[in-house]
Amino acid sequence: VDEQARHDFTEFATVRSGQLIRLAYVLTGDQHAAEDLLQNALTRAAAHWGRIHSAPEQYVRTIMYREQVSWWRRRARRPEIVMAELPEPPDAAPAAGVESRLDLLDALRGLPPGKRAVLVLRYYEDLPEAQVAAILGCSVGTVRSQAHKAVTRLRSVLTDPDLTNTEVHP
Amino acid sequence: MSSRTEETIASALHDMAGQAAPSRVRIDAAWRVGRRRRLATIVTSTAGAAAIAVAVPLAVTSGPATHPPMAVPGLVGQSAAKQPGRALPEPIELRQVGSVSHPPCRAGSVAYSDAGPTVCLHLTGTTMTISRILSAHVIKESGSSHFFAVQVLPGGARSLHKLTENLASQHSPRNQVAIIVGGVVYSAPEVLKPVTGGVFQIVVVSAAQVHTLERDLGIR
Repeated sequence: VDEQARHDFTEFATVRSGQLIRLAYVLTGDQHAAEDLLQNALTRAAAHWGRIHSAPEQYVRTIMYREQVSWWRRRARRPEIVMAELPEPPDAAPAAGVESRLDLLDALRGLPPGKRAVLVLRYYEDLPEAQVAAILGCSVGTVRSQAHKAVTRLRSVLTDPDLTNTEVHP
Repeated sequence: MSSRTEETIASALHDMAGQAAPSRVRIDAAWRVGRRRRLATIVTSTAGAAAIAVAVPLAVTSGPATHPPMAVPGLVGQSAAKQPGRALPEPIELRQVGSVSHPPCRAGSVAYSDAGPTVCLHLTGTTMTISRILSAHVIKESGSSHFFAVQVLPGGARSLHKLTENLASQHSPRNQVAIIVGGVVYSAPEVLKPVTGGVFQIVVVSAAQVHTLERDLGIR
């Protein structure tokens, strides 16, 4: 029985690790951190394989999301600068499209893990707010507010007028 | 939020995902370490004390379990009056897990989190209560990890064997047994084979839980 379980686990991890490492990467923004996150999630999946073997991927994904968010919570929260108004976006430059994309990627990496997890679930995984809340173990209101804050922060680095002028309705 | 903004963020996230290098996770190591932590803390003898699992406090969400404890013939501990050994300050209850569901936990179920997502355990009436034991001792394993080896009385050993024999023949999650002491479920191991030695283990990694369990098992 254990050999069969090991075989099933190995097959699952081998087949799905490509997708899972990409998810871990967008969550962490760092290759080493992504590998650590996935390694830990797979270890936990192995510990509970008997219970989760019929649907292991959702378990592994949930572990990664929660682990990443709790990692962030365990550490001192980064001080956030409270501003009365959003900073003005920089003026559009000739190569604004490319630069804004790079800036956006940098800004995504700079988001606190909690906010980034919400964005990843909403826009990378394309999940509805209720499901995001269930995975992260928080309320839908928290998901909305975190998404709103994250997008507001991203807007500040975007130079695309279509984006910077977009109203956010959480 | 406008679809334009959603598309831009989604596109950026997919770009970022594409920057990830191929996975170099060690699948064998994940399996090996995970199985050491596995739920199966029950072993057949103290000599097999390698199994490690994370013990997790479990709050009973509301009232008794869905199915109130029901004595299964031959599974309930013997009367303490004529038994050797010593009485436990808090009895150890072993209860079969009937099903597992996602929160919110309905009345009678218990929320269980082993550092992963919380699940709700619905316990069946198949149970064994241990109120007297021959011995219990705690061994520091590594870091803050400790395991408690509990040796039950001969009569309890037969009951333990019957219970675990019953559970080992069933499929997950009905082969899991919740180990409850003093209202705390320390683990919910899978039973893969019958316990024949009258000894089982409870593994604890939390220093606070070590202290509590030592007290409840009368070790200190």
